[in-house]
Amino acid sequence: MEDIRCPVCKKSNPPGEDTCLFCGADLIPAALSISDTSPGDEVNEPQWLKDFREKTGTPDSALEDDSSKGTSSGADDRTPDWLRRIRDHNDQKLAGRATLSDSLVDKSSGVSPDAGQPPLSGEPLSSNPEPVNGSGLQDWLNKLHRLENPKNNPPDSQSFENTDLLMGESIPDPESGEPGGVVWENDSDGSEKILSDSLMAPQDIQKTPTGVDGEGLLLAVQPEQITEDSLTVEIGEYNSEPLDMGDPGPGLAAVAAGTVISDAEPESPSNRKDLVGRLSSILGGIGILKVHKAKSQESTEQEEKDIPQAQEIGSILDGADEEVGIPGDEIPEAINSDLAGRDSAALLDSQVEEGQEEIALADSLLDEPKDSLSSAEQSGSKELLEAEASTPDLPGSIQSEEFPAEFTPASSSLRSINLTDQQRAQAVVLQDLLSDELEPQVPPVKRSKIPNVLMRWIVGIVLIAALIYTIITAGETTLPSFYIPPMPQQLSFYNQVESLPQKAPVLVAFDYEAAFSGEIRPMAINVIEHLKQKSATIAAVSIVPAGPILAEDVYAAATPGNTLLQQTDQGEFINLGYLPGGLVSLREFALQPVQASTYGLQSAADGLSPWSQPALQGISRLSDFSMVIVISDSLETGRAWIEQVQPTLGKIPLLLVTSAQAGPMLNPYLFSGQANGVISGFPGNLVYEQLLNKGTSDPTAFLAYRTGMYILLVSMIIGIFLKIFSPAPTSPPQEKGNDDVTL
Amino acid sequence: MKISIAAIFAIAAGLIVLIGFVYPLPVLTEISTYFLSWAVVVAGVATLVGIINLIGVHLRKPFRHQNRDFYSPVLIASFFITLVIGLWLTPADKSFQHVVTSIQVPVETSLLAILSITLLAAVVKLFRMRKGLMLWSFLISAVLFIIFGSGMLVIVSDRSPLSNWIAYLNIIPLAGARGILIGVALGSLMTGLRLLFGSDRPYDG
Repeated sequence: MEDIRCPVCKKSNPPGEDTCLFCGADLIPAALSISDTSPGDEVNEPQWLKDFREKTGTPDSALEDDSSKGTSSGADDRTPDWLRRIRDHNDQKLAGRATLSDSLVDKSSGVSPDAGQPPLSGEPLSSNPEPVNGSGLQDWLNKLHRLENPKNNPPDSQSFENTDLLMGESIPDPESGEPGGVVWENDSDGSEKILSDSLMAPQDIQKTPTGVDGEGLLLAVQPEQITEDSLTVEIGEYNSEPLDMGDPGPGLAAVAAGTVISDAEPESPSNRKDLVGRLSSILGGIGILKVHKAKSQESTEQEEKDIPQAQEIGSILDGADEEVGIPGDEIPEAINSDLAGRDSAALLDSQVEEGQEEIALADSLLDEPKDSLSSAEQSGSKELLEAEASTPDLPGSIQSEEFPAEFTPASSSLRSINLTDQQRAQAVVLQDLLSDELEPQVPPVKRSKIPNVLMRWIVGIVLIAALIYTIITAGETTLPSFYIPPMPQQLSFYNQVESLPQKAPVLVAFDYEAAFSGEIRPMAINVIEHLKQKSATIAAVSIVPAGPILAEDVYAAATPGNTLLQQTDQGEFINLGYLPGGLVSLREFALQPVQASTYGLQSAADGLSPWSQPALQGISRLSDFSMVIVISDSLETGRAWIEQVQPTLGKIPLLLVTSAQAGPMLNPYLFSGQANGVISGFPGNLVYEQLLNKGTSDPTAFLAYRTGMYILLVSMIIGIFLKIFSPAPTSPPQEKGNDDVTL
Repeated sequence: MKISIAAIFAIAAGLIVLIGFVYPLPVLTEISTYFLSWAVVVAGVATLVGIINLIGVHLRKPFRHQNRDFYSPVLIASFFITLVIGLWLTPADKSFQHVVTSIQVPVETSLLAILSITLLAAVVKLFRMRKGLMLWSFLISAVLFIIFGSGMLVIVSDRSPLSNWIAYLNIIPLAGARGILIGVALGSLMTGLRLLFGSDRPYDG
């Protein structure tokens, strides 16, 4: 007799020991039997299985007897002594104990029609053994469908009182009182089989050999070889924690073992869905098929919607009915290695290496549930079956890895061999991975090692230094005489102002922000000076809060001898103040200017209305002014004056003084006749000064402006050269952050 | 379509102002003026509410447990100092105006100058970030109009053939500006129609 190797510490123990001498682990394995292998199944056996049996000298009858009886009485000389001893021991220990029905999984039994709810508090679980109908393992799920017609199903004849046995919990030994032990159940023929050993490690579980070679053992599984034992093993393997018995749905193990729920439990579609859902969790836990667990409280309407999905899965699974036996040498290495990574595969490999006759068949469930599910679909069941497993409410269950429910056509090498759906899916995933590698990768943008902040500092320092140098040296520079040909809008502006009669009232809108003072203020000063040359009465208004004060500043600058603090010559300048409300107030001002600007800037000091000033006598409408000039820094403000105010002006000209950014956008209004003249930007101011015969009033500003433009031009050229002559990115250094620039 | 009372008033006000704009009848103009006056008052009150909210926010910021903002007290102090002096001296006071312009103009101009530096750095960076025909179109147009606007060609007389060519090139931005304005007009028209038809009801909350 050979030594018994401890499944935990892998050390050899003398024969006859029940526990490991080194680690104390239980050496009694759970002998899984392949039950009910009918002689007729030999027809479907693959050749490699037959060869294996011939090679090992294992007669079919031995295996069949052993599996069909499921007891130690069927052991022959080839049965290991330890297994025979276990069987004898368990025969004595569990005699008289209530058993579970294997009708759900075992071919020789069926699911009780009353399955639906697990007993929560001592409620008996009934087994409903049924004779073998020869229809294969698919019947267990077909019988699940009978749950829909409870009237046609008789009540359970047996019950199982302790569902904890099925949940992987310790089973108290009725004799010793110690927890643990082997769970037995009654087979259909009255014999007993080991159902589960809750204390045994998963790798301890051994299964009856079914003709498995060393490499292809996972794939060489007949659907008929699936037994409740293997299913229960999977439960114990993946459900390390007991199930939540508070769950109103049927217990996982109760479903798996084919136990029958008491008649007292109400029958409902949600229960049926939950039953299948928990089955799906088993299947999903071993990575075979993901069956969506239907939500127990979903309405029947939702259930109806999910039927097409179940049909789709069933149609997919129909293709999995074929024989899946495949020699290991035909398995692609990638797939084989992938399978080797699975826990079950490792378990099986280790068993084979040890030369044991009984090999775990964890993945034998691959095909059997699929067949059953397929038959479920064919039978028109409304069970919700989906391709994705999701059993978050099932404690201890392991989420299976996802695989596509729809397979793309495999390569010719894959088509030439028989693969399970899972293997096909894995092959497709591998193929997709490889195809992705062949796709061209977008080269990452090469990032500069110079931070963006440093870049801005460099540019800023260069720009400021150039401007400072220009301003310092401008006093020594004499600008050459030049002539800029005026544009039509500039010439029209000048002519309109020039044609004003003496002491004509002119409305000037100072609608620009203080930030644009550097650009607009020189133009505004030139315009005010021109108006003063015509002795025009100037009324200033603004829809910008800072506008009235800026108007005062501009008028002071345009008046010789005046400053903002000391204005000796107030002249005919009236500040109408700020118009709150933006564009709305502008429209109101266009309709009734006197009411819209009742209080001017000086009204707070003298309490008088600006319209009571002598300069504005006789003016009650905007059309009473001789001219309207809008000094604006943006397109929006200039457009508002043109659109809201200009229609009320009649033939009164509207002139625009704008920043360089808004000038080109406002030029179309000039050609449409809505505006009568535009001066924009620093070049426009140069032209206007030229027309006024003032010469360049501020050469320093002109030189600084030109220097800034030169730097901008040079920067663009540098950028172009960097683009043209910079090497292509070779390496993708992914630096932290995204604030790097090219240089 | 369910029409609320607010929608009825809003649509009616909009139609009256629009008709008064197209047909300036005295009655319509007077009614439109009333509506506009109310709108101006509401806008002024909204500005006041905004100021109060701004002060409230900055009053809480220094006393937060996390991310305390110590610039908020400076803002609040500046606001109240300006408010008190403005109420005392009135905005018509030249000293008050001088103080405001002496602070506001340099600060805002400096901010705009910083923007110019950022834009200049972006110009250098631009050619690395984008590719294609549009980049080169932008590049050529930018270089050309920078040269035109930089004062390089101020020595060109009006009799030079180059001046005619420059005048011709100015048609390009004019055409682009007209296209943009037409797009803006169409967008404004559609927005106005949606408001008048009740499709958009910003007043319903």
